[in-house]
Amino acid sequence: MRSSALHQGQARKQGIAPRRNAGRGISMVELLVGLAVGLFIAAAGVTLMAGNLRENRSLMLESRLMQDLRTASDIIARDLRRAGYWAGAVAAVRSAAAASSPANPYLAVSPSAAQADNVSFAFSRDATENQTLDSNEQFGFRLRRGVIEMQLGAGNWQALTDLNTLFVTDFLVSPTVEEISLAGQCLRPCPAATVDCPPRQQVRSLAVAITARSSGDATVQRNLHSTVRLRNDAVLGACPA
Amino acid sequence: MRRAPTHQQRGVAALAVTMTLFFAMLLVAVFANRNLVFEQRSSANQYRATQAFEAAEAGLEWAQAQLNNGQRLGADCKASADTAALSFRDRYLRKITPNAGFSAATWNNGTADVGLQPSCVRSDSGWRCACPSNGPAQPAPSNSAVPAPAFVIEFLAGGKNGVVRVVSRGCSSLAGACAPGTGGTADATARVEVALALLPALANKPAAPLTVRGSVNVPGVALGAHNADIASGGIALHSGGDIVADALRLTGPAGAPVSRAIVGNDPALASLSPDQLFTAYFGLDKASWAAQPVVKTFTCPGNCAAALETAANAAGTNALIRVGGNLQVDGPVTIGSPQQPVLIVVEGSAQLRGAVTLHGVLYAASVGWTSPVASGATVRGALVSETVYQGEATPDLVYDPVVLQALNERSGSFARISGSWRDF
Repeated sequence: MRSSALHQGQARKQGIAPRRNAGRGISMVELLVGLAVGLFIAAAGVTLMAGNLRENRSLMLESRLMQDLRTASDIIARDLRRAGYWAGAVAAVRSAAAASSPANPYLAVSPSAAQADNVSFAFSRDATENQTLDSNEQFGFRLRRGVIEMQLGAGNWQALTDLNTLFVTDFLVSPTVEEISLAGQCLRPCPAATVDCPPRQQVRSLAVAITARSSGDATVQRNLHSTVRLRNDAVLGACPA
Repeated sequence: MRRAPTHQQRGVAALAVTMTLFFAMLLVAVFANRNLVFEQRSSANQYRATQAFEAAEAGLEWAQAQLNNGQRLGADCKASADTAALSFRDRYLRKITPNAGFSAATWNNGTADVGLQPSCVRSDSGWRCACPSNGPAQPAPSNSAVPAPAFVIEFLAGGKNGVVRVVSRGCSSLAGACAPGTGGTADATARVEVALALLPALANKPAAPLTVRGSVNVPGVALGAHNADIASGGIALHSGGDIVADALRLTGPAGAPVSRAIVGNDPALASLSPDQLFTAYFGLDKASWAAQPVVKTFTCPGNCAAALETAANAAGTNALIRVGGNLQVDGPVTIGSPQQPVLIVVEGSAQLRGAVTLHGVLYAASVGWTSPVASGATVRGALVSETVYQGEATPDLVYDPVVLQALNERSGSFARISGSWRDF
């Protein structure tokens, strides 16, 4: 009852009001003020959204760049750690039965002294150790035209990074070698001016620095440094006979 | 009141435009968030993989350190006063005879013999470890609030004399491979392997029960030197200088003339310097030898018998003892046993008195043995002196190939074989 009475009252009011203002419209001032306010709000909204979009895009570029860099660096570190693995290492341990033991054919790592933009190394992948450095046991990384390439076997280079995502501007490998003298194991002192005496253990580590920029936005640039201590030390030289 | 309708109309248009823009922004924000979530997830993956790998690496280092730790350990891998407890090496390694290195000690799980595995889990105060003597690897749960990395160690047969392979499995949390039998899987696991070789305590065995670089000065003393081992050459007394003795009791291998059992004025022995003599037997110079973690160094101003006995018992099968300064041992005392021979290196001179029984090798700058007794003065193994041997005691020095073999093949430090590390 009450609600229907109210309804009737409203209808009556509305019925009167439009008839009075019907031909009046809105004034120029009203229109302009209204438009100005509307445009102002719309402009603010558009600016906010554009900023948000820009932010989002750069975030995406950055994370994509970081993601790719991290993956590349991980693969490089993991492979470098394996350098020098030799399935015949146990068999080569000095024993009373064997007077001489073969040397590790997978020891060499370049660069060994100066900084370089490539690195090459080897580790054993033989099911039964054959004591030779086969083609499929040679590995390496290098920088070519903005792409880090990975060597899988002699002469077989494959891209590790995607040029559509990132452009690698710098790839630097700096070796550090610390030598531990094993002279204490020799019965006699070394003759003067001998290269291979006394025996020594080389603890090798490589610092890898990668700088890359995003292919989509050259201002997005990141550096990534990692230091890899090669787990398989090199033992060189021998005691005087 | 009258103007309200027109204002409402205009406001609605601006509102609609703004709402549309906000909706678009929301979409962008959600999309950005998706990127962030992915980024977060991939970095968390990397974090866990690194954690597992580092745990596995820590496991290798830990296992090597424990193998070179001569102390007797309890079930929590901490030093134990229990004399029945075994050291880490005695607990987990079995020597394969003949000459094929070491393999894991085993326990029977009801159907088969499986290798014993020590394990550790990261807790708030370092690693919390379990060294079971029987049964599966059961590391105590970590008291850390966040999932803590863990590792478990497995020993594999080395396949060569003195060699054992160590496999360490690391996990980002205590599950899966790091907690055998509990089920579940860890988010990340890593496996690394390395081969360890034994640097023998006695790299080259002495050829005689008494080896003296200088002279042997025992006139009128019935010193007994016995070497019945034909494989060693059968020399009972080996000297680089003069042998002044007329009442020796010598024994060589059966059938060999006694005159063959004594070698004096050996130029090969006399030409070595004291340091070279040391290196010839132990394979290392004195400083490197003393720096081995296995070697227990102490000094005794007076009678050292009790201290030596204690040190030899505490070290189990790997008793490498270095005495700084001079050593004096008053009998009666028994140091070492045929199963657990000791290696004693004395920086200065060694003075033995009376009924001293030694199983193992005594190396000293000079050796003297005084206060004769009727019985009980025995060395089973070898005595080595850098300079002289003297004294009026009449001990029996017996060349024992089993004791020397044990020092050569069981005692010493484990070192990493370079070139044997791998994670694949």
